[in-house]
Amino acid sequence: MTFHDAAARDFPPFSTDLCIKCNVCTTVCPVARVTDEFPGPKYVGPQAQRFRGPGVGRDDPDRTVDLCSGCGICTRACPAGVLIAETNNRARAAIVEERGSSLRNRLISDTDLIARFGVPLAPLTNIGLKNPLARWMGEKLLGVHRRGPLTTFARRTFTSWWKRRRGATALPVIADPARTVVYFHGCAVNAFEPDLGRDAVEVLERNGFTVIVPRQECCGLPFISNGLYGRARTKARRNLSSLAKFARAGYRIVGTSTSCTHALKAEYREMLDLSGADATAVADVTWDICELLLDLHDRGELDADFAPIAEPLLYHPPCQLKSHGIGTPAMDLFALIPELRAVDSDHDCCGAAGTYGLKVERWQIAQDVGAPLFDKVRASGAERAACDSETCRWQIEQSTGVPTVHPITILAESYRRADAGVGESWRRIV
Amino acid sequence: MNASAEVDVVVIGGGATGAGVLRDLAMRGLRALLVERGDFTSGTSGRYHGLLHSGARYVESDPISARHCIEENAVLRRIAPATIEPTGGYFVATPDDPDDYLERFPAACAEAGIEAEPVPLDDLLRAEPLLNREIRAAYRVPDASLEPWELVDANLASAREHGAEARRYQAVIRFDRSADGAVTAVRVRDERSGDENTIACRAVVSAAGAWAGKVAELAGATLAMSPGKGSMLILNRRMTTAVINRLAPPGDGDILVPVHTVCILGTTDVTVPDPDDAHVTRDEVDALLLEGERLVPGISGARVLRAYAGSRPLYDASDLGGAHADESREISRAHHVIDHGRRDGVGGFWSIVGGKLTTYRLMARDTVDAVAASLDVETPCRTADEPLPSPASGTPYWLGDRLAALEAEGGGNAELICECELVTQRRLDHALDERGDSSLDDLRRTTRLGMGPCQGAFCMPRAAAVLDARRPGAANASLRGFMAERFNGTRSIAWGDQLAELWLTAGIFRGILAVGNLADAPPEASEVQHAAS
Amino acid sequence: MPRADVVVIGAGLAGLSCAAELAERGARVFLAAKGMATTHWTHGGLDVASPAAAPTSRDGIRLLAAMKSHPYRILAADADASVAAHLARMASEGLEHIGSLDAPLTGIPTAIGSLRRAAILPLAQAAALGPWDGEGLLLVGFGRYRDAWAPYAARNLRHAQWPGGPSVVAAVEVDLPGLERLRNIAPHVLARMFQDPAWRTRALSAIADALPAGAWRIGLPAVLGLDAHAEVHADAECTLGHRVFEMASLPPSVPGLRLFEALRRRILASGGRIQVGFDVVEVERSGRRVIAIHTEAASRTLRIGGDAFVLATGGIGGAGIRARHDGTLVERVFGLPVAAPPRDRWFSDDPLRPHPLETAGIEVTDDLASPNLENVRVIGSSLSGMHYLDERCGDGVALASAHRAARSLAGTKAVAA
Repeated sequence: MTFHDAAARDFPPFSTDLCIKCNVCTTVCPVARVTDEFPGPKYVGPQAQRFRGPGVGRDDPDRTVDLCSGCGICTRACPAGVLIAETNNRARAAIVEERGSSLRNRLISDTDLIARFGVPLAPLTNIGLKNPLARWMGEKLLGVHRRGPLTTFARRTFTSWWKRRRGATALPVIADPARTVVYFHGCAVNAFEPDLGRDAVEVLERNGFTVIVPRQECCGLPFISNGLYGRARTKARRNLSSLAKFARAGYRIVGTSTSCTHALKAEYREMLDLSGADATAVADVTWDICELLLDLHDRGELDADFAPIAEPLLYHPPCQLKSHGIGTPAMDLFALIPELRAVDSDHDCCGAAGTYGLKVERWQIAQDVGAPLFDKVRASGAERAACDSETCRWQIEQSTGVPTVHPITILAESYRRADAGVGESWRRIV
Repeated sequence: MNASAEVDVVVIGGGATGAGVLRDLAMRGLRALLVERGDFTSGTSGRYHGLLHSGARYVESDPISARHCIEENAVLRRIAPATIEPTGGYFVATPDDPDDYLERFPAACAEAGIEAEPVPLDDLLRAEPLLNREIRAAYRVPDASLEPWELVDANLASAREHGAEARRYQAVIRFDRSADGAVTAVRVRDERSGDENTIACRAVVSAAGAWAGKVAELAGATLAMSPGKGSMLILNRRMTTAVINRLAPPGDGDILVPVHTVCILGTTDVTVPDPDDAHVTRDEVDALLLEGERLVPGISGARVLRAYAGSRPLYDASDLGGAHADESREISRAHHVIDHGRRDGVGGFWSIVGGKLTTYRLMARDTVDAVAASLDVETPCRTADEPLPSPASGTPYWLGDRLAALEAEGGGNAELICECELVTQRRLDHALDERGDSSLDDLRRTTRLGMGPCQGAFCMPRAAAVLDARRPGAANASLRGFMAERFNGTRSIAWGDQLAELWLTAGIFRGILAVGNLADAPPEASEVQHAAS
Repeated sequence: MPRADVVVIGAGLAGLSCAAELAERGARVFLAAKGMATTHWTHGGLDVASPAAAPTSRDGIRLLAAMKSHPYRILAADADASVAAHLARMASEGLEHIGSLDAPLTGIPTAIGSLRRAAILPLAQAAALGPWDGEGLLLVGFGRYRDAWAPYAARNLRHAQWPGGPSVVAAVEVDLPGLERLRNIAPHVLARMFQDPAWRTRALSAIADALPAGAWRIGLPAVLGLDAHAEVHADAECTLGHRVFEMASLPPSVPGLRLFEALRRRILASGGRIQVGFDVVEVERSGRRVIAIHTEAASRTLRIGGDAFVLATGGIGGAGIRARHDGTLVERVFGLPVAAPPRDRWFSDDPLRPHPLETAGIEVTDDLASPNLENVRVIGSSLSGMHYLDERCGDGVALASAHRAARSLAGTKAVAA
């Protein structure tokens, strides 16, 4: 990495040169808002960065940077363009490299491993996830808070459903790239929420897309968030080697997890320094599903036959979505559904921040960060809430009792009602 | 404070050399007093690039200096490890550097006793990824990064332990001499109070560096100094972990030194008759960045915090011809102890000139050897044997020091006066405990207050309030002086991020705080012409 | 992909006000900002115009408008309406102000103990204004709070020329409950603490206990709450039994945070869209018209189309204009030419004096349009020709230009109530 490369300011630790020390970032930080333990993004980011470097045989000086949840709101708010959250994450990776990482962190980041045991043993493992004693033991032995936002394993993975359905998994011989997409389901859909995957496929197919689900692994974001860059790179390389051929053939890659898609779009290059052609090719064609559907709509190509859903809905844009920089496409899509009263939560962060809110020593912070959001959800009178990121959904649902779904689920439901109720509305006309 | 005094030796100049001389004198049992016209280490010692030379830079051009450097390098690491960051150094040959210099370099180092280890280029670029990938050869040498303020402080502390005294803000205004021309006393003026005092003495050592010519003149002696102004740029981040030098005859912009949280790109060399001229021109800035590009491509796009200059204390040995008048670099860096009694008939007056900060102790030894002998004192020099007092006697400095200390106590900003450089209230209080009459600029020297990216935008008012509590009524003038000093260093590099910082600073100082309207300033007077059309 | 009637770029006072007014007037507006900046660096009062020798802001405007290149030359007529609209907007969001363009500009104390001239202030700063009625001024600092310097400021104010000022200036430092244990203390941290009624009671009680007898006006650090600010301020005055005013200090500015939040809410409530963290990286043109901007998104850009565009990126201070190391000045969104003095005359020698470079900015037509791009208007401190610090005219120019731009872009649509 030469200074020329870094000088393009895409290399997070070099962006700290832009910092004018104004402290705006610290005023928007959700973690600093709720705990005095965390000095805030400026302190652990651009300020501390000047004191980091090879220590000639000394310890890494950092401690408090580990409290950063990685929500990225600081980076959004910075007027100078400092990549603060990214710098913090790199500092965490440096700590991990020097001091190692706990078994707990390594375990909860390895979602593929968890799923490999969790799904086949689902009735048992789900008892474990729901049983208070089991959770208490999990807290004492592993450090996963007994009330950490976890959901239950699915009986069958999404991929096994896809296989049963004889869905496409490989590069088609003949296909129209404009009408074919690759679905990156992510570990959450695969192991916990396969129904969401089904909804996504349904919505895409309804809009004329052929969906391909190639071989894929966890995007690696939990590893990145926990500073385990080596393991993250392993996942990343495997995913890139599987996805790159599709990208090069012009197929878009669509995801229903704003975390997965952010990893593919940005973090492989920005955090893991995977700067090869594969990473760029994949990043260039990765889309969040709502982003894609809205794009279709702008071109007049979206099936707009949405049936009414007359209910209030509280929508929370996840932090990872904000990092995409695409606004809130879900809200624009909700506006197409008649009678749906969708309201943006206008709250910064739900607190979950991926694996952060699971950790026993961070759980209370996560709850405090999300508390105003939970109040809003409860006060909204909505029977459902919506959010594009899985851990956020689980956090909101767990802390409010209000079922929380992906926006695509709402769209799929509206489409289904339209299909089912064609007769209904015809009858009404008559 | 006992204003007038009678001592054996008065030392003029509170930089490294003066402090070293004071310590050596005191350790040999002589009663000595040091006077410095400004703050300690505010002269050249405080305005250089912080390099503890291995001497490899001078192996060709000045082998005597080179040998002195490597010997003293080892001594200082032994007696003052906490003032030194053992960064190591590289000499690198960029495509623009001459082959013949590169070829002769290893042998020349060996002859001077400097270990210069060839480094495989892969290893170099892995260790220092920002370096020019077209570097064709590299050697590792024992350069290091030195903290001059602590070094000087430690020498003064040691001198005090041995019974000497050091006073700052005392300007020498006159020498009293006996009928036979010998110096009998030095008259000083307190720059703060205006009071004048006379210090009777048997000898005077002028360690005034670049100002030695002026001091000599006051004593009735002549000393042709050829001060060489060296300008440097301070960059916001460390570009490298080690010192980087070019494998070429010494020239502009060929050193990059990591110092604390910044790195320093230097230097230029312009013969400037007035050692107080510390003005950095835009041409010098451009020249430095241009040369810097050869070491770290892209460095012109890096954030520059400030530009500053120091005056090299070069002695123009009279047998050097006029042809070399402009190239002060060519003048020997070796030091000279001048006995003005023999040369100018001013008995008991000595000047020590030339040399480098790295060799200060040796310069002091040679000086005190001569002075002590003249006073019939035969005690040998032991300054290399006795470690300097703590904190200098601690373990080597490292970059993460302050952050680690802060984090070990739980982190947080509540105690931070200067957030950029992690200067705590405690550190400031301690500095004021030691020297209660400090100005903000004095505090900056010993604590690094205001030396980070914001250049004091946030810490200046906070520190002024701290100062006001200790020295009622002194804060406003100190604040204005500090602001002016910070601004002077920013003007010639005011572009990009640092210009944005300057505008934020202006917004705070003129917009929110209206500092210009402070009581003993002229009332708000807009410079804008409001003539009606 | 977003589309708007007007795309405003920049979220300072000018950008936010322009977007708010456009939305109020029924235009579809999208405000894109790289980050939050200048609002968070203000003292919270409104600097409309106070060049030396101007007794009121109105006189100040008149003086500045007479200058050949000053923005007020074209904006003076918008001053009344824009300030009134701003104050009404603030009031509707719970931030009352006092003062007017005709109120006399008098010295109010700053956190460091100088006097700065002001006439229009948030209610919570109003008690700083003269005339004083025999009361003394009591400055209050908090133990371990680094950004209040009560004893220092008091000493300075005692030496200040302050006609009609307080009878006496005193200072007191109060230890607020719990502060001795906190690791992180900053203005917004204290502001949030003051919103907790239980803690506030104890804190105000601690301050009350430290009050010397007598008639005072009390200067507290500007940390009296965020959303619940009005309530906190009222509570403070009630509990302490004296008039209380906030004193702004180093950024981040709590009054600025309130201002930002109020305008943001107002934009949203009026149907506008506002996105922070949207950095313009590309501009799509068709001839002399801009048809869209592109903001940086992960692995691509987001296209935001519009009929008209308003540049409110804040000049050098707001990072809308950046200087390259060779001395050229670049306007970073549209690449508009920047008028500025030659490089060797950028700075004065005294950092407390105005610098010629401060007048750098974009030269516009009488309608605030940029000369090269017909549907781009420029507002706020991106405009050339003013010394906004020395003349204290930045806020006034921001509001007037925002109002002028909004008015002309939204046509004759009435302002939504």
